Amino acid sequence: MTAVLSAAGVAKRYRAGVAQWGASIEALRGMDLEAAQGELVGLLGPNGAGKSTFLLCAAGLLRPDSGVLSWFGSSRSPFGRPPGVAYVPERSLYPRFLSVSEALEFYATLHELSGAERANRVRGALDRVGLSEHAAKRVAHLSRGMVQRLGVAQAIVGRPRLLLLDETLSGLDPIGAREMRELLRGLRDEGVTIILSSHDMLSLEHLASRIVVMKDGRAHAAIDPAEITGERTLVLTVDAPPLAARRLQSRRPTATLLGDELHVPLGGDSPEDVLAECLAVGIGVRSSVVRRDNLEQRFFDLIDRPSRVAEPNA
Amino acid sequence: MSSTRILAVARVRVHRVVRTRLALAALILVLLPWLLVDSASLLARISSLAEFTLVGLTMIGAGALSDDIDSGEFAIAMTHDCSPLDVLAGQTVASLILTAILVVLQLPVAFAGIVLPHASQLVLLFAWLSALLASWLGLLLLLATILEGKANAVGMIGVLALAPLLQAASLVDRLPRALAAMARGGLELLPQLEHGTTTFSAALGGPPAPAVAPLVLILSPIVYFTLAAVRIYRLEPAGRLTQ
Repeated sequence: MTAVLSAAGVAKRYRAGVAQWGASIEALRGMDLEAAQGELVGLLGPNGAGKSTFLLCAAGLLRPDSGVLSWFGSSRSPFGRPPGVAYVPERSLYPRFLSVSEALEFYATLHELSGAERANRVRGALDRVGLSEHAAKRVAHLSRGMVQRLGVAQAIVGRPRLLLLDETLSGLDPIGAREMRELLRGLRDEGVTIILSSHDMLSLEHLASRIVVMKDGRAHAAIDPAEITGERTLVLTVDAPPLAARRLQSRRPTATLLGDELHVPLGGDSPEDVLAECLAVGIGVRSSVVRRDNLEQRFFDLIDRPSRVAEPNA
Repeated sequence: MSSTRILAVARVRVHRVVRTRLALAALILVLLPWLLVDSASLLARISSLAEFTLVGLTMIGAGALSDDIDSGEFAIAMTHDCSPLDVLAGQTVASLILTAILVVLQLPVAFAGIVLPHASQLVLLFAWLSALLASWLGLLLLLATILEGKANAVGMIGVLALAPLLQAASLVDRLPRALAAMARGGLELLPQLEHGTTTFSAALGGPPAPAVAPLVLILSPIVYFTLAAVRIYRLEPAGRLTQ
């Protein structure tokens, strides 16, 4: 199947004006990513990892210095921009002096829709993001959560095939976040490919079919949320780790020694049960911590280690 | 390019100027100074018209243009099948409308009690007036693009006062002779109101205008818009969003 978005070795450096002594920032250093139709890919990474820059390149709003970007199987012509691609920025970049419905009307007009179709799309988008009651409100007077909803509304007014979302889940209240997750899930089920940059790990874990961890301007690792078990592990720092591991493994075969740490899957047991067993077999425990296998834990495990995958789909 | 998109962009831009009260501020800026203009000379009045219109135009036209090139509003419009040329053309239409309104509103004050010369001469005067305004706007945008990396011409408005300030303070005269000559040449290259008035004077039958002024008047906007075209070709409307 043809990839909806394909990025290979995308690099981008920002250059400032001479007033800032020509300073430059290397935002992307060879980003690779492929997304198939109906896939929701999460982008996760520390600030400055290059997520926003990559989304701007994928939206056709920034030209990479090198590398290849292709949409729906073809690269963009020098004067065109990718069709069927919508972008929702992190902050409000919409005309603040217009009302919500006027802003959506403006974007719908740019698609050269007929009057009836335009009104239909605007109404549909307002309903879908739950902004109908605020249609007359000025964009400048919207809360951050409402701006995020407006962002998604302006994006879907053009019925895109690829939706690029930059931190769209931030700033939403719990109910709004749940509604937004439902909305994105619905769009994904309709076959829209979504690339979502977010620091909201819980949402990414539940929404994304694949999560790409970005670091230093490139894809550092890929996580399959289906593999996240949610199981708890007791991590022990002990005296004489090899000896302690042999003693504990005689009672708990699943215990493993990773470096100087003993990792003991808890299953249905409590940490106190395991600590009592350690005492019983004469293991000197210096410290203990319970870790749950979730996206946050995997992210922190990955982010300080060398790259695990050269290709994000590997 | 699409006329629907161009008009949509122009309408939003005019909305911006009106709803953000920029129009009101610009109107006050261009009308109030007329209270101080005390001259029966047509030349002085046309010069004042040029000066006041330039201030208003810079405030509403150049500010809005920098929005288009540097801010995300331009970028988001582009994700809706809008080309950069559609956006710039829409902005141009809006700027022309607003500038025309600014000039027309001043005309009754500017020409009150003045006997106008022949129509052809007046048309010629307004052609030079437009060239002077476009030149200054182009120069401000060019400097802003080079110095700040963005097209914020409003931030460069101080440049308007640079040439007269340097000349009035005689700073140039204190420089070594070769440097002073170069500095004087540089200052002469700046499009100054004086260039406009001498041109008006020439058109009204006075002494001929210096040749260097028209050259600068023509070159400045061309250089700026070439630079803008390069940025558009490189598709960098969002170049500053992440900085």
